[in-house]
Order: sequence, then C-alpha cells, then structure tokens
Amino acid sequence: MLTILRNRFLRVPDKLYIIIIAVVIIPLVIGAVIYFSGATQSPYKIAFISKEDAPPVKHELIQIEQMNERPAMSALVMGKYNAIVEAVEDQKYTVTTYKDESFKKTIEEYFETGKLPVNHTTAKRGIGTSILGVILLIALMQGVALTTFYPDDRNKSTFKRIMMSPLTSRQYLVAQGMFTFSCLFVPTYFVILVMKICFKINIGFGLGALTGLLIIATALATAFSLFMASVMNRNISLATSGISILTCLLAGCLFNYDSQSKWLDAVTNILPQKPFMTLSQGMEGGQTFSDFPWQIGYIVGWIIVLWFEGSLITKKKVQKGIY
Amino acid sequence: MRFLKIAAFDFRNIIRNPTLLFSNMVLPLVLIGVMGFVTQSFFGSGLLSSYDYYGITMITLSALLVIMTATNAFMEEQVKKANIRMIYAPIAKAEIYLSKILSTFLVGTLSFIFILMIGQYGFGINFGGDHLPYIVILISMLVLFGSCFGTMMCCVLGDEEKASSISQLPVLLFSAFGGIFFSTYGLGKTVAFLSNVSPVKWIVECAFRIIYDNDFTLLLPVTLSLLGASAVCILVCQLTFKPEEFTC
Repeated sequence: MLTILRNRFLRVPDKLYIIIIAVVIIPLVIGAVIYFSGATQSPYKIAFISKEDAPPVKHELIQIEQMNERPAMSALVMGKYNAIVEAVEDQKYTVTTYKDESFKKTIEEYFETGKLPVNHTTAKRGIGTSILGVILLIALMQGVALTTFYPDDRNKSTFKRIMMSPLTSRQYLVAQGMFTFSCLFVPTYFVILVMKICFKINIGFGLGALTGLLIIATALATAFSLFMASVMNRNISLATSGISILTCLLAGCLFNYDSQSKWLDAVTNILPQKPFMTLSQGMEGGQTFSDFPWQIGYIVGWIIVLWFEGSLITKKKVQKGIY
Repeated sequence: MRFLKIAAFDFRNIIRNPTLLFSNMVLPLVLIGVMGFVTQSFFGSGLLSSYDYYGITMITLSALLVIMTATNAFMEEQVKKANIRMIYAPIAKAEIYLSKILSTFLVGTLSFIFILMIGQYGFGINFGGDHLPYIVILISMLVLFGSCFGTMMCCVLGDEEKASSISQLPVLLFSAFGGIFFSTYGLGKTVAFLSNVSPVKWIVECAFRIIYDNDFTLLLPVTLSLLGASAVCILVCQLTFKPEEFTC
C-alpha cells in the first residue's frame, strides 16, 4: 500500500499538470474568492433621471448616479444599476427594477420619505461560509483530476498487473485516496493559513474549526472522486464537473436561497453539501462541532457510503475480469 | 471530399457518445432551470425573470464548455487509435484537427439552436423574440471559438484529461468575472477591470443589448474578435500539432 502511495508521488512529475492544478490554480482561485469577498460593496446602485433636481437625500448604503436620459435597459439587466428612478411630479417617483416587489417598495419609500425602511437588509451569509462553499465546489470538481492515476492505471493495464500481486483492490484505493486527499487538502489549507496569518484577512473561523471543516470537505471530495472513477470508464471529469456544479448550486454552496417548493427541499436535503453549509454557518456563528452531531454524522455517512460503493464496484469488476 | 468524410465520421462519433450529447443538449437546459429556480426570489415584477437572465448567461457558459467536447472528440482513448491510423495515411495533418473542429462546431451549433428554440418557444424564455437569429449567430461564433480553443489545447498539451481540466479553470474565472453567476458591478475597481478584460462579459452584454435595447453595436466587433481568436487557435494548432508524437 505504501509502495502504491509512493508510486503516486513519484509519478507526479510525469503529470505535471496535477501539480499545476493543486499547487497553483486551486489556491489562486481560493485566494481570489477570499480577496473579493472582503471587497466592500454598495448594495443599492440607482440611476436617478432628472433634469434639474439633485437627489433628495443621501445615504451611505445607496449610491445614486444622476443623469438626464434613461440608461439602456441592458445596463439594468447586467446589474450596473439595481433600479432606475424617475421623478414624475413633486415627491412622486417611478421605480423601474427587475428585482422583487419588496426592493421596489424600499426604493420608493426611500425617495419619498428620505429614509430606508427598518427591515431593508436581508440576512447575509458570513464570509467564511461563502469561501468554504466555493472550496467545496472546487474540491469536488478537481478531485477527479487528482485521481487520474487510477483510470490511467486501468487504461495502461498496470492495474491488472497490480491486482495479480497480493495487494487487494481496497488497499489500492486507500492509497489512491490518501494521495488525492493530501493533494487537495495541503495546498488549500496552506493558502488559507497564509491569507489568515500573513495578510491578516478575517476568514471567520478559528484555526481548529477551519482544519476540521476543510478535512470534512476534502474527505467528501476524495470519496466522491474515487466513487466516480470506479463507476465510470469514459468522460469521468466531464460527468463529475456537471454533477458537482448542479448539486452545489442546489445545496446553496454559492448563494443562499429560499425555495418555495417542498419536494425540492426534500431532494436537496439528501445532498451532503447542505448539512456542510449548515455546519459551517453555525461554526462561523460561534458554535462548536459538538452542536452538530447529526450533520457531521450525515456527511461522514455519505463519505463511507461513497467509499464502500466505489471499492465494492472495483472489487466486482476485478472479480469479473473487466480490467 | 475525403475531409468531409472524416468530419462526418467525427460527427457521428460525438453523437454516439451519450455523455457528450447530454452535456451539450440537456445540461444547458438543466443549468438554466436550476439557476433560474434557485434565484427566482431575487427577481420580480415581470420585466426580467431569473430564467431570462440565466438563460443567456448559462447558454454562454455551456457554449464555452464546448471546449470539453472538442478535447474529447480529438483525444479520447478510442478516437486516438483511429487518429493514429489516419496519421499513417497520406492525409495532411491539418485535415485531422480541422475535422474535429468542424464536427464539434456542427454538433454545438445544432444543439444550441435547438436549446434556444426550445427555451424561447417552449418555455417562454426571452431570447430576443424576432432577434433570435442574431443571438444564434453570436452563440455559434462562441461555439466555434470553443471548438478551436479545445482543439488547440489538445495540440499543445497532447492529452485529453490535461487539456480539459486545465481549460476549465480559465473558463470558470472568465465566467465569474464576466458576471455569469452574479453581477460584478460595485465590487471595486480591480473587479471592474477584470470584468472588462473578460470576453465573456462582452458576449453577455452584447446579447442583453440586442434583446433589451435593440442595440446591435456590439454584435459585429464581438463576432469578429471571436472569429479572429478562432483563427489564432487554428494557427497554433498547425504550429504545435505533431502527429509523430501522437501515440497511446
């Protein structure tokens, strides 16, 4: 088993792009995410159309740009402005926006009374949770690229020869899993540490919590990629990317959403990413791992099931002599 | 004639591959559906629905991901063997990769025309109404670029998995900065700059201008630059594709 693991690392120079992905690109993306989630954002950008009046009131949360003519609708669609406000008569304004009714009401009220309604802000997710959501997505997508030696071994019939030795397919997968896990975990963890310690960027977690959460995320990604590599023979990376993007979106890894449909909730609650997001949000709010036994248990359950399914399928295929 | 035969064969190869067919014809629709559904509550008042917004952005993203179809059509293990036989035949090396580009482009364009039609007439998504043909032109140019870029990555790197996983990352970065997933306005000057550099932003803006403002000023420059970029990719293919190194 250790030989296999050593073999993985020795073969890394042959597949240099693995290093490029693991050591350069993943951390780069994560660094960018951390950097940009720290950037300040003015929540409301408004185009105010009026020939003479200055905008009635100023507010730090609202950025008003005054102009003589209506901007193009596409500027509104692209999000350059959140709303176009036009003065109709004294103290009366028409608001054009593609956002929901409550936003329109908020802006109307602001222009008419000069004050924002009390409950104008929506609940925001912490920066650490947003970062971990993206990390989970990238780890799930890139895990397969880091598992590439396994399908590679099968294509080159090396796997067949390895199976002739006393090594079992399960031990082989354990070694491969260790390799994938360390290639995912070490660079990611390193970047976040650098960000946290050298650049003093607030990640939202303590070191212990961060380590724990990252281990969970990368272990899930490892189990998933081993599973996918065992099940599929062709187009592994294509299928994995598709599945990862869809499930992460539905589980709310990239942004939070309220679904109005019960059956969709039932479907998304099955996904392991959902308890992970709950867990990390709770941790960021100051709770500890022991407050989420159910969530952790569920994710670990997924990891075990994916792992066992993967190794079972491989074992079956070996017994049937497919490789 | 011989070239067309090779291209037709590649075309059939792509169509027979269920994963590729799924990722080109079904996945974009699923993505539009999921993104539209997930963000439904952020949109309202009938001006623009979440499906209208993500219809355009997700089609742009999937059209770019044609890169992966191209790498697959070129260097998938089973296709590779056939390619090796072709290398020994008296065929110009340009014919080998040009046939992959042509077949990927055809599959991609046909499937996106299908998706745009289904979206507009079946699901009532606003893809420009009468201006739909212009959107089709724009997207097919993007598909052409994706096919050329994917093939170029294969020529440069010589390996399918390598080419597709490396080209995925710039695609995702350009898409994120181009405002595919969320609006990039108001995120500071650096992001504004990166967003203007991202070709994806200009494609999306071009499409939205056509649909919502009847404004065609961006159409010509965007399509021409995509054509130019495709030509550059083909040139790189010709320079870097070495059939003699093309082994299993």
